[in-house]
Amino acid sequence: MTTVLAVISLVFVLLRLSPGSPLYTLLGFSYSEEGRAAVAERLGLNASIPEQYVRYLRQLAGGDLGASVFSGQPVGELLAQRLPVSLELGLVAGAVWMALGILAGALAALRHGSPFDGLVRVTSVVALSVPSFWLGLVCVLVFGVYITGVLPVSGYVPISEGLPEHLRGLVLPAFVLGLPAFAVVARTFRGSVLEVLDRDYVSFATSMGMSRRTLLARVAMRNAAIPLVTVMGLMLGMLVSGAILVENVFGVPGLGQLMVDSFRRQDYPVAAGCCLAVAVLYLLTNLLVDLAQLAIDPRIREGVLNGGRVR
Amino acid sequence: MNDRQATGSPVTDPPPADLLTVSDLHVDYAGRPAVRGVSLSLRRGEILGLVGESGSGKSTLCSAITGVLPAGARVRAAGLRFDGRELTELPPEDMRRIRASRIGVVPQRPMTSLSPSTPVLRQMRWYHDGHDLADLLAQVGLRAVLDRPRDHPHRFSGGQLQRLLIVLAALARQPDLLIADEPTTTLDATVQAQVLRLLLDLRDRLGPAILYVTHDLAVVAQICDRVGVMYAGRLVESGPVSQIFTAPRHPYTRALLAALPARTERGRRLGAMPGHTVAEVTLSRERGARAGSAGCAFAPRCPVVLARCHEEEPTPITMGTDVVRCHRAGETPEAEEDA
Ligand SMILES: Nc1ncnc2c1ncn2[C@@H]1O[C@H](COP(=O)(O)OP(=O)(O)OP(=O)(O)O)[C@@H](O)[C@H]1O
Ligand SMILES: [Mg+2]
Repeated sequence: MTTVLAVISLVFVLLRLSPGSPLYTLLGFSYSEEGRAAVAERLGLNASIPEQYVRYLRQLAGGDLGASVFSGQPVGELLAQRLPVSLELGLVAGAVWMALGILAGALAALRHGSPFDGLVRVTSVVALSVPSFWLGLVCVLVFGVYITGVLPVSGYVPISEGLPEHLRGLVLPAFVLGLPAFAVVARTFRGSVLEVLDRDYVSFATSMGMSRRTLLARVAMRNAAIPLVTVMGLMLGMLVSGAILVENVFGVPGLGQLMVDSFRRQDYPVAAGCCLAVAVLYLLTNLLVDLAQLAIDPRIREGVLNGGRVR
Repeated sequence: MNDRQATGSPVTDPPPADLLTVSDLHVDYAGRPAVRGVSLSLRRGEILGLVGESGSGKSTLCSAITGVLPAGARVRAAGLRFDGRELTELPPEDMRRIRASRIGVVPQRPMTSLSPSTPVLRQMRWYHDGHDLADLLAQVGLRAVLDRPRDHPHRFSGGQLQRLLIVLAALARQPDLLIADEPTTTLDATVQAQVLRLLLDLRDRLGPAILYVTHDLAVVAQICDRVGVMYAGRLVESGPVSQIFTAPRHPYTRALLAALPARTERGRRLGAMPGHTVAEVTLSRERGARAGSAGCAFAPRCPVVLARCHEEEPTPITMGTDVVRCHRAGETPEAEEDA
């Protein structure tokens, strides 16, 4: 809750301190002093900044996010339109890529030193060092200019117009968005599986004649997953920020696009609403990670039960 | 589970063939030798003590027998025979079956030998699902574990875990070969005595061979039939306990025995042995770790060292029931005095 308030305040202050005002964008060429005054009055921009701040908070407390300065559309409605698009993109990208990352990491560790291991290591370094927007532009170039007609590079097909088309549209954005998550998850899991395989408890289980497969399932993967959960949580957060770039490159009408637009036009309520939504997403992710860790790591569970580590 | 009971012969039988024969075993960790040319054998019903300072390769030797070594380790051996089968040539599945039923290993570090993310009792049932679990736990004074089905390893003390591992690897499994790597280090004197009694009882009932690693020479004197002394990866001396405790031939063995508190009768006799006091043969670890490759590894610390010891590594010499790696092993104590 404190975090949310801090985010709101920060966004509010930064927006008001930045030069320019929505009034110029809004009035455009028909700008005049009287017009400005009238609109400013309507939007409540004449009040002092602290006053505006208090008013905004009060409004939020009542559950009202305000309305777009330009279209007059309520922010809540805008978010309800855009958020599911982003969530779908993020979850598809995250689920597919992280699953692949876990698989690749585990296989690389089990075939330590093999060509496949080398491939995974090189791939993850490369994937991490390539900036998303650049990769996005390359994809646009390749599929928009050289290999046309296979995958759409821009625009968004709502699910109402057919699932296959809808999914086809998701492929490239999800690819670009999820690649870093794949890299990080694969690397982390490879490392932690390798580490776990060298532990005393694996030696003991082996010396007790536990079969390799049982050992991997019961002992190795389970313990190797503990650090993975934290990393996956971080990656989910990264997907949220990555979405802002990727949505703009591929023209996906999600939260990221809305956010950039609103900041560019200094549409205060919408921009603040977007940030709020992102902050809440982050918090939910964190909560999920903590719960997952709680479920998997007995020592953390202990800590929480003893009142140690409750966030 | 106990179909092997018939094959275990009581100790009183005439000595049968060796159950385990290790010949010229070498183990390297990433090129650094940890065990160098160790040969030993173990009969059914026999307890072989393994002593030697920290880092001398005792645990590595134990792990090499069952083939459970970390990824960077390399094993080389002229032979590793268990019950007539060459373990180094066994397909992995056969080796796994031998581990699962015939060889038990009590690991050295109880605190880290169970998976931290699964309750202890559930892990015990992975390995032993019999109805007699309560009984076995009661034998080591841990029946209460059954009332703690959800407790993970970190909730147990080192001594409790150690006893649980003894239950799993020794009492429940009843192996033909038991390898126990310092199985009582975390136990207090009374519990240790109780555990030792259980092991002796197991030996008397089922006649397994036991390889018992320890730093405690009093325990060796108490339970072992034979003892092997390791120094810098080599087995420098081995033989019957009575022989080694009364007439040790290797200077390192003598140093070890001289360090025994002189309260037992045996100890008093040894304390009176002429020549070497603990102070003379300081057990300095650094020098031991640097043990040279050319000559005898013990030469830098040896009180009776000869020029030859620095140049030429002694080969094992059999002297009666004793096997020694020392250039001076053949000399009489009087000759040593003159040196
Ligand atoms: N996993 C490992 N990787 C690399 N080197 C190792 C490993 N385990 C042991 N060593 C090295 O091998 C040598 C022998 O170690 P080992 O554990 O067998 O000694 P030990 O006689 O059992 O000692 P202690 O009495 O302290 O248990 C040591 O020099 C040690 O540093
Ligand atoms: Mg050891």
